Amino acid sequence: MYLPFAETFVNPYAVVLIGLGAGLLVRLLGSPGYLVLVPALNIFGVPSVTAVGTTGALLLSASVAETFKDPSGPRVRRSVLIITVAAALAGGVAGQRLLLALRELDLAAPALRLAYFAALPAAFALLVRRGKPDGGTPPRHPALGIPAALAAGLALGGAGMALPVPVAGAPEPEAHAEGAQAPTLPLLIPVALWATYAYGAAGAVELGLWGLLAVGLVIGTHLGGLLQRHCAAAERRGAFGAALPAFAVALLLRQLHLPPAAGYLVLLTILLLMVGTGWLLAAALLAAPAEARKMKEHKRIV
Amino acid sequence: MMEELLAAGSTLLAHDPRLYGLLAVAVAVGAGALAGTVAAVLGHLREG
Repeated sequence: MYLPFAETFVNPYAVVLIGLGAGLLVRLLGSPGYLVLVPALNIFGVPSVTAVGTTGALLLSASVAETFKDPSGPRVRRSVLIITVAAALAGGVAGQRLLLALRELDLAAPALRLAYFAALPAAFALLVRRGKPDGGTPPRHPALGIPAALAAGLALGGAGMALPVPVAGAPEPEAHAEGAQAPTLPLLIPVALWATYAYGAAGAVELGLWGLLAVGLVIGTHLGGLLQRHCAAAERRGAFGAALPAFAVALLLRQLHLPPAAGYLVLLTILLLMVGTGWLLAAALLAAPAEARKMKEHKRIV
Repeated sequence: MMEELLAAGSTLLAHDPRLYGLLAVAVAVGAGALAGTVAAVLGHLREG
């Protein structure tokens, strides 16, 4: 598939597979699943700024879809919401300008790879920590709200990362909640709108690439939804979250000028995710009649 | 007809790149709204 703005070719099957893997991770791990999109696209030959711009457009679609699914939105005071969104927007504009400035200096790709190399293992560590009894969520202080929103905006506008936005006064997500970070995604809509517009105007949003990723993401999310019913949250975070450091290693290989090895590692990771999903679903389906028999026997005895 | 429309669209976009930014926003928001609505309707049907 030819990308007219980036003037390069990418494998469309690989793009759908990347979307599928990301969709699976998003459903099972929450917003950290989106972190694999930019590294995987970059490894498969999409220029870094185009990968960020296209991921920004995809995050905009996901945020809008999340809002339509749950129109009640984040339950916080309007003044706090306005300040948080304004800070995130300022961060987003600064991040986008910074990335375009780095592109002029030919430093955009190494800077992005470094940022993701740090972010992916950190996200995995946080996911594992959330699963532990003493893990819970990090303490939130009202004074940290604005810098955190600024950082989340900077990460989305400059790197296409969907970081959670801690809003002062918002209800604390439970430590073992399903996708507890998902409700913060609609807060990033203004930043995602700006990023999509600005990167689009700079010729860094490929709508063909976006469409293929969206198709993969929808399929992956549905597969993840099937698995979600049959697999405990802690197991999911441990087993499927391990894909995040694998993507970090692939990025390192790409930075060391070993693109084939990096590409194979990404494909192998997605393949393992698919095999794991199939295995767990098959095990759950096979176990279901036995469980039903046990329940029937139990009822008969009672 | 379709080719003429595509050629006219390309000329327009080449004239002002900001239009492509607006087009990207419109496509992303439209697709997100459609996906969210379908998911909400399917959720209601499943609950019902």
